[in-house]
Amino acid sequence: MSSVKFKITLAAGLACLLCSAIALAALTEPPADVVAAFVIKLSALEKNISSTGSDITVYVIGAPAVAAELEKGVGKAIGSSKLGSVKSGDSLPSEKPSILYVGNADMADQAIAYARSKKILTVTGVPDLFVKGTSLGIVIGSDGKPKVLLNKTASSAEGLNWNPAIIKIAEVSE
Amino acid sequence: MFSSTKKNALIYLTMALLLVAFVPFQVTAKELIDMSIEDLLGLDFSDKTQEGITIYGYMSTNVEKVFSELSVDENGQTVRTTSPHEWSLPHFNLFLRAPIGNKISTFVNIASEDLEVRNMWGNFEIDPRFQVQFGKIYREFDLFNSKLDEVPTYLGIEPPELFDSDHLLIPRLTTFVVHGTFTSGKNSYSYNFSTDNGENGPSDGVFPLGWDFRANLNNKAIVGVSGYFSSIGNGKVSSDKAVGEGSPDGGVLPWMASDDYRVYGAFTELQFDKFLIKAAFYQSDHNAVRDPDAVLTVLNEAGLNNRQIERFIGPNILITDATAADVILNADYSVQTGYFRVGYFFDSKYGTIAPFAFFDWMDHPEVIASKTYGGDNESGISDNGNFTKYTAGVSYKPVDQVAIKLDSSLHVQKFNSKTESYPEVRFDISYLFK
Repeated sequence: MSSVKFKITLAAGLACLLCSAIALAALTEPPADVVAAFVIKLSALEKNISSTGSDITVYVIGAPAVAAELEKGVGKAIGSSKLGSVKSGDSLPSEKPSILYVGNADMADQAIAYARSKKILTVTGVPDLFVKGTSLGIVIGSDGKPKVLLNKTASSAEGLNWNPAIIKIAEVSE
Repeated sequence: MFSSTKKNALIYLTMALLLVAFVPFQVTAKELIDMSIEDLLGLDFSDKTQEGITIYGYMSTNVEKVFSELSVDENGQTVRTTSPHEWSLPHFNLFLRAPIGNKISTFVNIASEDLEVRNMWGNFEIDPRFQVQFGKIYREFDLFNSKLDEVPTYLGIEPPELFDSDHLLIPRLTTFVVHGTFTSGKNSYSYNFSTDNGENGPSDGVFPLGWDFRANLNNKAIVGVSGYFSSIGNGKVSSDKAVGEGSPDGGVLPWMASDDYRVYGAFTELQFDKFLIKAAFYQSDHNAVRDPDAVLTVLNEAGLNNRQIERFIGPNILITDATAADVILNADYSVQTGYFRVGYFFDSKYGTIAPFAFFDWMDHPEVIASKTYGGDNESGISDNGNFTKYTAGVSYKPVDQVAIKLDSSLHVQKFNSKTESYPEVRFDISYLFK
């Protein structure tokens, strides 16, 4: 390889490394209690969930701490509905929940495919898993403050019907 | 003994302090679910606990005496002279560290010599796995390069030979660093790439690159490799010091017109209970061209031995007859060096006592003895550029912030066709202040 080509390759490699790292690395996972609070609050803005008037079920994959925090909110109002139960496990749920929380990278692809086929809201607090295709991401930004991320494509695939107020809260991506 | 009232007061005070410390956490844990989305979005998880400037530093005083130093008289006989003891003052480093938020940190290291700013850098942590650093930075190389100013923190008084300022393998400082650490359980894995202007300032085609990869295994073992390319471009570097100006700050000797070299090696640090072991080996391959005029100056003024004279002008020419045309321009050579260090820590109520033993070795075929002309009076005085150094000593730390060290080294090399040795004794007392 000539010296010029080598330099170009090196520069391009470093640039790619820099860009990809900056995009992902500035975000971190929030504490479980923060994630749980946001899940409850944000699901009130999804009309299919908040307007049923019945109990909402949340299934948590691979994040027992988040499940434990969510359980503290059982009975809390979500629109005209309320949080009825929280279940968790390391595999896909046996019964269709209202909300699917994805906390395990190994199960992410399966969970997202399952949610899209069943039309369920997917949420994660893990930045890398939001990139994989969940509808909602709850993360800590580089300024140390929580951020809500909304993937419109994923929301559409999951058949979600958001209150427009979500736009004021979330950083929306396609 | 506390009275009952005082004891109760102390308990209440302690509980109050604990409560104060946990208030932010308690609010977060109990009330989050009842907070509005706006309030949730206003939570701040940035680490502000370390804001402000942290000032600390190291200072040390040491004295050394070299016995039976070797030289050759006018009859070609080996003579020995004992140097007077020499106090070395002052060794002082003031460190200032100031985080800006939880992603940016700044650092300044001011050294005593003319209040030199030895380090000054800013570090941007985009993620622990990807960070960039700009400024005047000790490059990550071996176990010691970034630690040498922190005298009380390491065993021994002198650094390993590869960091002897008389014959450095690489420039210790750099300007731009990309680095990061990946953590997996109790293990962490780090990478570090560094670059700067190059050995003697900016030059077309010169793009130096330092590199380092290391693993920290369960805080019990560090293993890694370090290396340096003087340039990965098509340019060659030259020395930052001219002949007669002393030892260079990098790997290029002052009598070279140009050099293209690379350094590579491996290191390890192992902690077995109270034993601490450090070991490393490095090789530096040089593809250099000598500067004839500079070589003639060295030949006439620096007091070379026969092997060094032959290396520069061949075997059949007297120094007094040598001209620039006689100088052998090609100087492809390799330097090798290594160290092995072991220490054992006895903890007692009077402090920590740590006997230690070191072995240092260097083979430097191109070096000369005169420090003034960029040489080293250890490997430079030997017949073949090779020397070994055996060191034994003890370190006593009455408290963690103070280290009192005494050691002695035996330098062994082939000199004037015989294997000769001479001893050296050092005493050092160093302090950490903050």
